[in-house]
Amino acid sequence: MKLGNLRKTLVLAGLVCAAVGLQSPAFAQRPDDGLFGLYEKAFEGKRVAFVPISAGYDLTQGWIAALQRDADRLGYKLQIRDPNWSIDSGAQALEQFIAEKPDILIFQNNDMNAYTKLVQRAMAAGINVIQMNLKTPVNSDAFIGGDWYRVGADEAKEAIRLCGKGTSGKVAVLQGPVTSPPSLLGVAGIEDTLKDISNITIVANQAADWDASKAHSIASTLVKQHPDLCAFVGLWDNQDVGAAAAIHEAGLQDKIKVITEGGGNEKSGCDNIKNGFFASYTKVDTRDQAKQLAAVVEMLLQTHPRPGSQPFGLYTADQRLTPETVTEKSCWTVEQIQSGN
Amino acid sequence: MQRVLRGVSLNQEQMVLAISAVLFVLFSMTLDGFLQVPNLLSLLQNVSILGILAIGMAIVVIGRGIDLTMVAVMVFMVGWSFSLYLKGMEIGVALGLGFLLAVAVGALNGFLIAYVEIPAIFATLAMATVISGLGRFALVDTDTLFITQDLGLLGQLGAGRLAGIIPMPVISLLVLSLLAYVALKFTRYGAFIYAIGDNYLAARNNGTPNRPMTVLMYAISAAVAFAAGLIMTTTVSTVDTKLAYSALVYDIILVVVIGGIGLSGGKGSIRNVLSGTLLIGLLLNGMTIMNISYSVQSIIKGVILLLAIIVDSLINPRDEQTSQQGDI
Repeated sequence: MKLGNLRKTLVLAGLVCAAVGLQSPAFAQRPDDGLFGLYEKAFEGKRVAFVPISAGYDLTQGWIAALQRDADRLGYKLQIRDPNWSIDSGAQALEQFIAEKPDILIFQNNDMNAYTKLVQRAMAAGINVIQMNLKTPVNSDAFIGGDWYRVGADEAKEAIRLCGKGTSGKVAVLQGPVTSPPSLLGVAGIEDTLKDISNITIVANQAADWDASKAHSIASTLVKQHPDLCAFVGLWDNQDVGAAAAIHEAGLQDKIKVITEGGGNEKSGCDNIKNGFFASYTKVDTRDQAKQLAAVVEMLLQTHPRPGSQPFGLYTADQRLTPETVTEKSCWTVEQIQSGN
Repeated sequence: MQRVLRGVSLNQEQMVLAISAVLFVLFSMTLDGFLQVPNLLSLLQNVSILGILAIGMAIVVIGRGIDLTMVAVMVFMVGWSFSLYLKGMEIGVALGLGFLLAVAVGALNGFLIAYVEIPAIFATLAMATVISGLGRFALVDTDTLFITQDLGLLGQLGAGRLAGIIPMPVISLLVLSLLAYVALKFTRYGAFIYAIGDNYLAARNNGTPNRPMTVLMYAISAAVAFAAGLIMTTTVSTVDTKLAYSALVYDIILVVVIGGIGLSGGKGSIRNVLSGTLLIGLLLNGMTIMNISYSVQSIIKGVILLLAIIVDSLINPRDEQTSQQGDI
């Protein structure tokens, strides 16, 4: 009896010690601001799935870095399946994810229409869907990415600025795969803007498939065909370095300008602006997109709206970079995004 | 139809040259700026990498094989070299390592085909996937490498000009063609490759070292792929590993088949590769000048490949031997 009491007392004392001493922070109440408890709970056990075009290039590496940082910080689970530039594998990865029912499904598509049906099926299955940078014609919960029509129009305005009086006014357009949104919408933006400008003519419009060596071939042929060409208007820096290299090779870098756009990667963007490869660069900043993507995920996990009920877009603000305006901070590296800068 | 074609004394190579001549005259008359030295040089330059790759492919196809790993080897081995270089390794050492790995992969292809006896088309198809996967996983950690540093003399390989006129890639194509031509025509090893391609069993019965030769063939095509990759990289200052998933490997086969090297092996020479390359160069150049849209260009290229294969099968009909041994 006495022993039993003693044991009880000891256990009780131990518990009290534990509570007050070692474990005390767990018992201390965090001042309730009315939201934080809900906020913390919103991410518990949540799963976010991402199917990029490929996880291996600068843009997607930037977005993934931002998502991963938030996944670690907030405690949701991030799953990435990499279709590696294959539209078919991308569709399979999406199907698989729809069956696994994550809370949010993010995808980026290289073909404007390929995933349209899958988006609808994912939403019908109760998954919130975010489209990244390249939008299908179907709305989902959110779109984050470039306004490709305006990017094209902005580049065309640069062509008007750089190919004014004293030049031939001839420009050549270099697009990516013809079914990809930046090509479809970007070329429309370029053509609509230049339509009423009498001194600018588009002398060629060719697809280089996002491939620098194809861009090189096309450009090297075109500069011989049109030695008085004023500018190339390209739709991705990764591809247009090839055109710039061809112009350089032909010794025409003072006469023919390359107007391009890109995510603002240090190597493909700023380095090539500084060394004179690109005369004008419309930056659709991946850093901004990465932050916005992480924030939209954070919001949707808390609000969990009925999929597709309130679609919204965050179109990236364009920024123009030229050899005169480029600074050390204009561009980013993947390491910087990973470390949160 | 067969009789008609055989009645014509032209072989496929001559036919391709004739078509090229017709196109050349046609373009010269109708397209402004076509018949100018700078344009013709850029025409050659634009297909020189394709031509170099086709030389490697031709050697394998003559030996009745096919190498679908060429593009994967090209981008990932060269990509590996340059990613080592970008991480601070001496450029010569980095390229040496990449080259050795390329040759090793080629030899492995040959081993799978010659010793494990997997049909070439399946062995190299599977290996292409393995190389791309491994490349992405372990060798090159990004899809595109940008080489913004000045590579000095090495950079001249892609962007330089001999005597300030002839682009270096064209020179490389000619030098490699000459080497391959001499090796195939005048060395014992060349004769072995023709013998193996013509009749594998007969060659073996006559004492040709079929298996080691097969390993050598694929090692050569991998080495050629590496060389092509190096030239491509120094031309455009980037390594684009996406190419491994592109249709480039079919373009290489297109050049080989159009030139008149039969897919059933044992026939053709480097001259065929050069005439095939020339025809493709003319077409690409003409279509770019005419500003033909991408989709139409694809259709034209596809139709030409189909025609070439039809002509190939009419000129080199399936015979007793192919029915016994099958195609590649």
